[in-house]
Amino acid sequence: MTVRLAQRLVPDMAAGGVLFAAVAAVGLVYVWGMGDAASERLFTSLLINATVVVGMQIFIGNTGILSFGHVGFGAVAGYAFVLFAIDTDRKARLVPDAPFGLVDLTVHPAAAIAVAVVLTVAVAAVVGLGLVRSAAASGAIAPTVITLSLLFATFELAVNWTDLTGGNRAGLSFRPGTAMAGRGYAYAALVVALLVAGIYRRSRSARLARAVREDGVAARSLGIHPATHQMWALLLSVAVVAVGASLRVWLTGTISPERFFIDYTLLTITMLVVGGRNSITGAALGTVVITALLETARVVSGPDVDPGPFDVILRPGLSDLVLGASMLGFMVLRPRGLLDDWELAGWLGPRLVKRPQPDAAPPEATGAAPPQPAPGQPAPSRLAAAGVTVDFGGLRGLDNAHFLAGSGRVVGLIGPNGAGKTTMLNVITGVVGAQGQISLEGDDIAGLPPYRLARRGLARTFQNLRLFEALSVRENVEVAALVGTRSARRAEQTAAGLLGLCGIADIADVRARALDYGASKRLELARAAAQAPGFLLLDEPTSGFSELESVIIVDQIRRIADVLGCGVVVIDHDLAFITNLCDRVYCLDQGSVIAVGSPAEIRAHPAVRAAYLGG
Amino acid sequence: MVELIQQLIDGLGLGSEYALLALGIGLTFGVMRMINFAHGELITVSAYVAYGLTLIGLDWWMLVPVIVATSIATSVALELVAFRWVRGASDFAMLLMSFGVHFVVQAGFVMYVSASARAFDRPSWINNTVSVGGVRVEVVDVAVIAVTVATLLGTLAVLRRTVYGMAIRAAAEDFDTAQMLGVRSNLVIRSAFALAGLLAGVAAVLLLMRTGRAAPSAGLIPMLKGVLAALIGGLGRLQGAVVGGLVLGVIEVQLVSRLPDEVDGMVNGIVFVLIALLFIFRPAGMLQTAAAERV
Repeated sequence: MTVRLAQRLVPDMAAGGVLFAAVAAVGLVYVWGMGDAASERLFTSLLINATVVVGMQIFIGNTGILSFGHVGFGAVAGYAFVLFAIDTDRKARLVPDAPFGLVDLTVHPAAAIAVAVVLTVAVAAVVGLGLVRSAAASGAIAPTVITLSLLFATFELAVNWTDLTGGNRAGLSFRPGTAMAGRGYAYAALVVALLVAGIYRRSRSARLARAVREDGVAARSLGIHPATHQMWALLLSVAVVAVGASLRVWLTGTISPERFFIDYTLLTITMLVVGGRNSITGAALGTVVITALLETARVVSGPDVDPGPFDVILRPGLSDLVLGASMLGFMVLRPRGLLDDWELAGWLGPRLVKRPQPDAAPPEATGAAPPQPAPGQPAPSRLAAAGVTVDFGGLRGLDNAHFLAGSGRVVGLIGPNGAGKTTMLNVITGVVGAQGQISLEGDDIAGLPPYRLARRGLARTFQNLRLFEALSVRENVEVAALVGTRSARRAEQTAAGLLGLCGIADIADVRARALDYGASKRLELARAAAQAPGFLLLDEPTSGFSELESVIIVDQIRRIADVLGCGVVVIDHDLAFITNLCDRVYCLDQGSVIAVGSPAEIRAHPAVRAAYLGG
Repeated sequence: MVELIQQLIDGLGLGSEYALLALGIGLTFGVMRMINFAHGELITVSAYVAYGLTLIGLDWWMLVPVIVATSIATSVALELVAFRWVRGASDFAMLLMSFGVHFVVQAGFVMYVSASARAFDRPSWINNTVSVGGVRVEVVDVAVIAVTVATLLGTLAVLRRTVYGMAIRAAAEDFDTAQMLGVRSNLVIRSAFALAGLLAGVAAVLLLMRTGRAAPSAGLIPMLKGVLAALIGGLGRLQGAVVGGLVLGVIEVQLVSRLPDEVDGMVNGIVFVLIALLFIFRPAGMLQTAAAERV
């Protein structure tokens, strides 16, 4: 176990080391070439900015939520740090009325960083609650606006709470001459930030967070609770940013509200999106590229260079223009940044650690473990709905509909378009609210949120595919398996088995967004099966398929149901297909169940014939 | 009681400016699904144009149409040169696009005009007050409320009665379907930006009458208030944006009058924190109207 863990971490360790060495080498060569104090300060700020940007990547990259507020958290950390770190004499002079007895309190800067991290993470925990809840309710836009207003809030607080912060003019500062004392910490902080981000990236929580990033609805239907994983990402991310921000204050010797406001936000966000927000390597690369670009802009627009005809562009304000324009350019031409989600660790991994690839053949052949229900929770064997009524405004989606499915059987839901088949599935999986009773194993499950229902053993596919598009085929399935287990190894085995079973093992490393329609549907089936569900709910698994393909996927569905021992509910409007597959069929028309019975009974039922043939 | 009415009028006056901005932000969000962080630039550009025109001695009454026209032209121009390139892109790309536009415009003013603020004359009647039944009312507040109500009613009439308006509303509901039904996307998007520009132009007039100030970042805080108002009202709900703006204005005025003087400078900050906390309890905005995603 420990050996395996160590093996897994080797690529991250190595990547962190190589990245750090690369950044440091670029900086040191520059400092050596220039040989002055200014270049050394530039290099130090490069290290610090890289730490902050890598910290931001942890949240923004893994959750896909754009945050303008991280620099605001940085301000909180910066002030907390400086208030604990500067000596009491100086504090008595700068902020004699500081509350909480802070004037008489001073600790070593390293300890002050720790205090700053703890305080800032506590603030982030409160703020994050609103952030992740609004993300769950209305997508990634609302939290972005909230983070922006938080940035302004911290700024105004810092400007106006002069007893604590020294206000906008004076700010707070260390004794002159002590500024660069903690330089060694900047090196250490970047190494730690890279390692933390790398190890987190590989963690279960981060993988589930990325699934939410790709498709929140699908992630919830797999049993992922988005807010939990977004919150962990936020707290970790803020902790790293807090370290970077503290160092920024320590090594420049001063803090004022303007230093952690919109300009620094623009700088760090641009660094992140230019390099590639989904990649730690990208965060580091973006920091180096933008630093070089800005330094060039600074030098050519400085007093030492005769601008000549370029006077129109080489003037103060150029750096903001460069940053803003880089952002625009990348959003138009390369919105995922230079590296997209390419990771050094991912590239180094197979070159450093030889481990047997999880075998991709069907489970019978290799003995790979079929997915198992979570221990301690027996698979449910009875799914029932009664008296289900749904109103969409004036339109009645379902009208007193009922439904019963048991394990080991395949139940079909048929009916013409608009009959209420998908609505029934949405009601059962908690996506749509309804009146009526829905029970699983006798327990009332009406009104439970989708992620809970998923954890109780309901897995579903979607009529309009909802894959995690930026993830590979294998990752799509592994994520689903990870919800039920904490063992990455078990998830890998489950995924390998199902990829084989669904006939997509040969494309395991292809990104889901590159798949054709048929492979996408197979992948969705494999992903739902990886939840080890008690019931597999399939929304039109064969729509858009040729007859031959339909036969193949029906066979695959049967084999999966056998391996899992689960019940299957299939929606389709193709009478012939569904009667081949099902043990029992419900026919819906205009929201009501008009017939129930064996496939043969349904085919012969007059009401069904009327609904289908209009006769 | 008198004081309360006074504050309510002040609050509605302020809130109606936010409502104008929020409605514009809501309109462009409706057709593009993009929160326009560069919406405040319409005010910034208008402010500099007003500054330039007062320099050559133009009267305030003459400024009004010019400011509104500037704002409309700027809004459509930004769509033409910038936003159309990210149509249909991810939320992330669109948010950053508008954020970037904000900085490019701001940097432009810093580089070619001045980094510091420029003041210009405000209308002479701006501080006049009238007394109605013991309530002292600033003329400008009455003007603001009247103009806003007229503008909002006019906008609603346009949205309800004209073909363009219907196309915008249809697109705000479901852009893809509207497009398939033959609504021309360029026209709808540009109409929405033009209308948003008009609303922001009116807001700019009202704002600049009070402040008489042009600065590169003049539009930042108004933009943020407008976005927050739209968010409070529930994104994508046009009436919600108006309600959100008014509520925000009333709350802000209440805070100013109730909070101790020492924290006067922090009112914006406190409002922002309150809104951030609001989302813990009402994650889909005050009116809880976030549309459910179809699956």
